[in-house]
Order: sequence, then C-alpha cells, then structure tokens
Amino acid sequence: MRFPRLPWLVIFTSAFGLVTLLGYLSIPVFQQIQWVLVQWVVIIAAFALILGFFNVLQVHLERVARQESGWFYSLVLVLTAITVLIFGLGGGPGDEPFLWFFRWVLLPLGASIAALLVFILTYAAYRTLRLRRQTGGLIFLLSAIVILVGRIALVGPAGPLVTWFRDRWLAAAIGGMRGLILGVALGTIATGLRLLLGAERVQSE
Amino acid sequence: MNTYEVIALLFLFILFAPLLGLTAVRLRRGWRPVLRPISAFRTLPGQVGRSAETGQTLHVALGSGGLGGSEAAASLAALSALRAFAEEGAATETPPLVTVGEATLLPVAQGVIQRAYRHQGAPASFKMTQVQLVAPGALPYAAGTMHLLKRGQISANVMLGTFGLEAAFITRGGAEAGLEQVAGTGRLEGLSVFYTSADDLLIGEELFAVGAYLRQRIADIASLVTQDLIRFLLVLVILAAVLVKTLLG
Repeated sequence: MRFPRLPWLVIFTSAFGLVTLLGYLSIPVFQQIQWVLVQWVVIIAAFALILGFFNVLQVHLERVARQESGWFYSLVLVLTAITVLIFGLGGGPGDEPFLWFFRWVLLPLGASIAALLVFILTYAAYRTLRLRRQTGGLIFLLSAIVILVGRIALVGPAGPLVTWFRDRWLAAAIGGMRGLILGVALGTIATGLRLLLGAERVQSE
Repeated sequence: MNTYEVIALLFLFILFAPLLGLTAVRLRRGWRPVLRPISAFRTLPGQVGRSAETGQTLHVALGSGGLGGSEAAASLAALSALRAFAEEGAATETPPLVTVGEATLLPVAQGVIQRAYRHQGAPASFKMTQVQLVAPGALPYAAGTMHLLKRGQISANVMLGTFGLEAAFITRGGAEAGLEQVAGTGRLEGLSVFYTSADDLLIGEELFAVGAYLRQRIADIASLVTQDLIRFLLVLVILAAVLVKTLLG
C-alpha cells in the first residue's frame, strides 16, 4: 500500500505543536498528550546528544589524521572523551571515578573560562570606544560612567544626587530593554504561528 | 505558564492568525511593502559570494539554544538564514562551516546543508563535518569556536541564534583573525556583547526578520508586516493605559 505524497513532516509538526499548545489550557486529554510528547522530546534530544558525540569524534579524528595545527589538542580531546565514556558505561552516571572528572576537571575548567570573560568583555568595551566614535559610542561611555560612579558609596551632598541620576538613567535603560523584549516576544509568537501553519519548514523541502 | 499568560498568548495567536492570512493574501495580489533598511541585511547577502571569491569558508555560528526550549524561535530564525547561505553556498561550491552548541541543532543544520546540495544535484558533495557540535553548553562552545576562528581559512563570521555574555569569546576570536562579524540575537546579554564587538548587528526582533530580508518569501514578509502591525497596536494600548492611569490615578 502506497501512502499519498503529502508533506507529512509539516502535518506532524503542526499537529504536535497545536496539541502541545492546547495542553496549557488545563484540558486533561491534551495535558496527557502534551506530557507524552515532552517525554518523546527528551528521548530524541538524548539521541541527538549521541549523534553529537560521534560528530565531535569524527571532526577531531580527521584533524589528527591530517595533522592540522593543534592536532595534539584534538588527540587529547578524543582520548579524554573515550576515557570518560568508558567510566560512564562501566559504573553509571553516579559512579565516583566518573564524577571525579566532572568535579576536578570539567568544573574548574569551566570556572577558569568564565573568569577570563571579564578581561575579554573589558577589551571589547575598549575596542568599542576606539571603533564607534559616534553617538552610540558616546552613550555607551556615559552609561558605563554613570553606572560605575553610581555604585560608589559617595558621602556628602553629591551622594543622593548621583544615586538619583543613576536611577533615572537605569529607568530609561529598562524602558529600552522592555521594548526589545516585547519585539522578541512578538517575533517568537510569529515564528510559532508560522510553524503551526506549516509556513516555516526548516525540517523539510 | 499560569492561566493569565496562556490566555494572553492565545489572544495574541487569535489576533495574529487572521492578520497574517490577510497580509499574505494582499502580498499574493502583488502588494510589496517597503522594508526598512537594516545595515546587517545589506552585508549578509554578499558573504557567501565573498567566501567563493577568496576561496575561504563562511563561518555560521548558530549558538547554544536548542529546538526544545524557550530559545527555539531564535534557533529557527537562525536556521532560516542558514538555509539561504547553504543554497547560495552549494551553488558556488563554498558551503558555510556551521558550528552549534546544542545537540538538537546538529541534525537539523546538517539536514539544511544536505538539502541545499541535493537541490543543486550534488548530494555526494555534502560532508557531515560541515556542521560541527563544538561542545554542548554555552561557555565551552564559545571557547572552542574562538579557537576555530583563529585557525584561518574563514572569510567572515556570522553569529545568529542564542548567545549570552560568552559570545565575547567568539567575537574576540573573530577580531584576532581580522574577520568581518555580523551578529544577531534576542538575548539582552548577547546584544550588549555584540554591540561592543560585532561590525553589524541584528537587534532583538530583527533576528526574526531574517527570512523576509534574505529569502523574501511571502510567508516571511507577511509575518514581519503582521508583527509590526501588532507592535503598533500594543504601543497604543500601553500609551492608553499610561494615560488612563495618570489621569484617573
């Protein structure tokens, strides 16, 4: 038996999207279907992670095979990935040697990278002042000065004045931020609706 | 989500759907709205062509937002842009190098590139490693992508999707390599970083206009026009609410 040639992926996407949305309306049937669909998403995401693991191995093994610049780091990455996988498969996710890698390798490395962010952001701000010598750059500089000075615990008559000015400045900034968030929310709704109507077809022809 | 949020969302959906339909019908009948000029959309279309001229590769970073959470819409907008780059790249045999920081984006982005090759009649040219999961998680992804940019053979750096403060690593890598950088995200932290470090910027909702500007499909333009209409309505509602509150206390 041959199925008619219909855009099945689009039909499934729209139907699942609609049912998930209706699940928020506290109707028991839709809530149950929504729960099942969310479980499926978790399982599919886990498979995507396995696919990602092999993608990482493939990319770095190719780099090692071609002896590209930095190939040694790729080799370390591959060996580490395989070692952690062996420990994970052998003892499970709660196994102490497996957790050791997270506690003493992954977490300190993550914290070190996060600490570097401060210097990178400071450099980016400096670069802005060099490159964007326009109104935007001036407002950026003024904002930085107002916020930094506003955080200093000033004593004497200048203190309340600086705090007042900082609060007004922040209020203007928050207004702008809310405008941006509103625009993003509308864009998100529009994308969701296009997906439900089958006009957004990232997953098919 | 609480009941009020669900009702507000459904109200917006109900308002959106007919307006979208009406705008699409008008567009099909020949109406062409003038889209406001956005600097980044003047820069983006030529990127693949420039990479073909220089024999290098365009790097497209899709960020660390997946397809299953609240960042899904930004990821979908980024994938829409990737589709435009992939189609042009497959035609000129210079497909972009795509990096992702979330596993669910990987197969979808690979599918986008693969389909672009199939349309060009060269499915065998597709390589799975044209899309790379650098690392799952925002910080490791950004740190890994920074090094990838510094290794050379990249013509420009385009970052679209979900990015936070960690994007500073990627833009730093791009700046060190002397690359032109175009970026867009809906997250405020990411925007503040991009403002200081990218050459061209898509601010907030402009990210969701990618399809209308790059691919110029009726559905995308209709969606953009509808978004703007509803924005005007919301602004009017906010102004009215402020006036009522001020006058009546």
